[in-house]
Amino acid sequence: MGSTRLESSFDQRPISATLRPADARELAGVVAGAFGEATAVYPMGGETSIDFGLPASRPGVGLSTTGLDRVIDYPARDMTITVESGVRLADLNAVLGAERQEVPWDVPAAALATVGGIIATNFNGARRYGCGAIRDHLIGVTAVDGRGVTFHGGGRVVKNVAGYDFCKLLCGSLGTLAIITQVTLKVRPLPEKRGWAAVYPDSLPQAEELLAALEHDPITPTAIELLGGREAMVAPLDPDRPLAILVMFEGMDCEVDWSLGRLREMVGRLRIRQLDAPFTVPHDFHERLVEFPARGGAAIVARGCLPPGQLAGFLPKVWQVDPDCALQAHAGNGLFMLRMARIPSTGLSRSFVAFLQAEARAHHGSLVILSNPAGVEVTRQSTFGGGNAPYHVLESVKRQFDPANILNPGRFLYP
Amino acid sequence: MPQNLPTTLVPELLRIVGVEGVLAARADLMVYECDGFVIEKNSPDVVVFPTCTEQVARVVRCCRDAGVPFVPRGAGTSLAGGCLPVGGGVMIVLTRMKQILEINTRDRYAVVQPGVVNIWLTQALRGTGLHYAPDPSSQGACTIGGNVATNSGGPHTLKYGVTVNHVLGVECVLPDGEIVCLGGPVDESPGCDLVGAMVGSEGTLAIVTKIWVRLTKNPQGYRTMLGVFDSVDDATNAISAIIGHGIVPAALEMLDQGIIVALEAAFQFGFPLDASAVLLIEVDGLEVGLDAQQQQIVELCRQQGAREVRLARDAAERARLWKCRKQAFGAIGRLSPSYCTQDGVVPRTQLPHILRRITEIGNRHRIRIVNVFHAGDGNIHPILLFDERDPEQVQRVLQASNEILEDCLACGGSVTGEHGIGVEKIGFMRRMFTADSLDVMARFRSALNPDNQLSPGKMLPTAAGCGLEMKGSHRKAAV
Repeated sequence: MGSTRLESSFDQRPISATLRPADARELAGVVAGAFGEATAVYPMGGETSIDFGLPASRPGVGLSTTGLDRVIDYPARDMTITVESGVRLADLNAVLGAERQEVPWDVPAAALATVGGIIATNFNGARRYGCGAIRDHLIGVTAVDGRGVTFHGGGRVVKNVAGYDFCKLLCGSLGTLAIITQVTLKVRPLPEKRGWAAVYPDSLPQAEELLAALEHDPITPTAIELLGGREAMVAPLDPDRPLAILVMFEGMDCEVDWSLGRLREMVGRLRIRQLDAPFTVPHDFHERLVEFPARGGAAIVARGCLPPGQLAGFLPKVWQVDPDCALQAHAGNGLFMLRMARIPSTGLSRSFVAFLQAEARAHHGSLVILSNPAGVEVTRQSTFGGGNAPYHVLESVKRQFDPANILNPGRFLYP
Repeated sequence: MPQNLPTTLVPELLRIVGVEGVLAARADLMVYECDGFVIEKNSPDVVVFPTCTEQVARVVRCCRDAGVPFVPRGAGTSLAGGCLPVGGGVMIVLTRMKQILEINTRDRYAVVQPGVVNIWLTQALRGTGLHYAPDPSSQGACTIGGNVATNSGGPHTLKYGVTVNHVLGVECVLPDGEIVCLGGPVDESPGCDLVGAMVGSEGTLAIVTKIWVRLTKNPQGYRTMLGVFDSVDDATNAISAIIGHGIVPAALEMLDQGIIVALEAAFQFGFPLDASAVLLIEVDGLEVGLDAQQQQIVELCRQQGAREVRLARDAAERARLWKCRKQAFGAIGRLSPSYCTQDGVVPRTQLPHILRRITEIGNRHRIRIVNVFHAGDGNIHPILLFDERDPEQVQRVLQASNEILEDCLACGGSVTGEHGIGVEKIGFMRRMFTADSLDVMARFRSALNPDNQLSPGKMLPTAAGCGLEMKGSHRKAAV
């Protein structure tokens, strides 16, 4: 197991002090003061993904949300919970676990990662396939904009279409539009049983055969993961196999058992050679899988998304650039994480932007460098250049939420 | 020729969409003066029917240059005045953009034009093992573009989520005429989620001209049940018991006696006319687990006093049950000349309370109220029956509606779960949101729609006012 956060250049950032307000009101006061003085503010949660995006552009203060760590309301029978944004994911799930409920977010370093940080980084994990994305669980949000104004969107009920859906807008906004202070989440009952199965296709076309078959079968996995490269084969997977597909089922005992049996039949039908590898995998594997993106040692960590059926065609290009690249794909959704072992000798702009990013776009997808590791010259194009929302539209939204550009200046797409 | 428009506008619109694509005669425009919310009406000055994105963009640019307000419209089935042409102007009706452009079963998405009727997509998917999950009761008429504008729900959203959970991307025309794409056939794009914010924006940010929607696997099996109760309290307690037990049915709907009687008269399904309430409960998923779930639900209903739990015998009976549920609003014509449907939401555990309050409020205002709603989500639809020819009754309906929605807010709920704010509930926005929140919403709108020329007078309040109100006398209300 490696470090609990991605390779970081955070320490190089020009932060004079880190403030830790005790509540949302105090936090809003800090931002209002910073707005008046045009001081840059760098919001921080558990600091597990603090180096996402571009480096900071000017000196400022760090603003930690970790003092906002209260559970506000937990009406378990309504299956919702309202918490402050600095609550750590592990603590949240401990509270929910007492009522046999959970938020099914698979995020590395859950003991540190805060709810607000997870939403701001839109960090979706393996169970997004069967349980929905971060945005699908978020039903209410309170936040502070770049003027220090507190606002909210949504509410505390599971269905609500009053006003603009700020819950969605703030997902993935990386603290550049507003600082989230409180959220209401939909929770779900803990399943009776969970089960993982590991399958080892010999090639990407064979992997695609199984992935496509899973989409056309009544089987209902909660996660479908495609792993590639020796470093991605977390224990107890066989590190000598080039690829592995991991399928997770949750539900009643009988449902999980039936699904595992069905998958085994499917694998036999497709003539995938399991050799002597065990078909089912112990559940603690799940934790190791979730920690994959946060392990140390990668020169570059990149994140991308493609239509799922395009993955098998795209991935050879990645291994062409870096044969030692480790891959974790939430293959049912087409989301993937690449841990490149080295910076391409031909340079980032040629290998990453001009080649891989262009390939991803050609497949209707995106690929961006997630972190800004020391020694890598990341640019706006390499870090955010995969999306299709016009820059001027995003900039116009940013101006309305943060007119003095004090929230995370320089770190996001906007200048 | 419309009186309120610059003289050059209509000829210009005719050049863009042709003579077949423009309505400007007074009699023709009457169809477009309201949606399903009939209490407030106003006619557009002209209606255009573009057939492609480029035409929409040209019409928008034309309106922008002329300084004329414009508003998009789908099938007009919305229930809160979302496509009411406040202040007149140009109405852009998207029902001729009705092609399903692509169906990709491997990656489980479809690309549709906004005028595609919701059910057409599921019909087109027959045989693929997939369907489009959001299924509003009006799915036989409403368009997917309209569903995106209002973030529509439906009975099966309890398990599968509302429209926003199924929209991957949109192509839209901004109020300055620029065509932009947000998202696409992928689950995620870098940066903030503008697609999510666009859904439910009630046509106030942009006009959606193409939609990438997620398709959902058909479940292997269903179990559909009808729980029959002698009291509304018992039925609502059963809902709490089912949800509280950790069961998430695919749908959990409640119908009270008033609506049962109307449905039975219309469809002769065999509903028990003496029941105070019935619950329509459906679980779906893997066959292997369905009998156990069904048994658990039957047991919980019995524990809460159900006198009987009937099971749909086969697919045909299930289909008939859902037909009855989805056409419930049509059956109301048997009860009253006019009706007004509310759309409040309460935490699910507050359902027994809110239903008692609805009865009490109806009695006090001498308005008969029947209920058919998405109980599993806590999304109530009290239907207030009245005669719109009697202005005094209209006032009582508005007053009773106000009180019901006030009570939803007092329970920690919302005044709209799936119909939208439109013009009907603008007055409630100040009750639901602080002035600061409304200011931030207005700022967000101005990022995309700076002159508020697109869909003016919608969603966000501009002046003081509270609750549901009858608007100024210059507009003809349904009285």
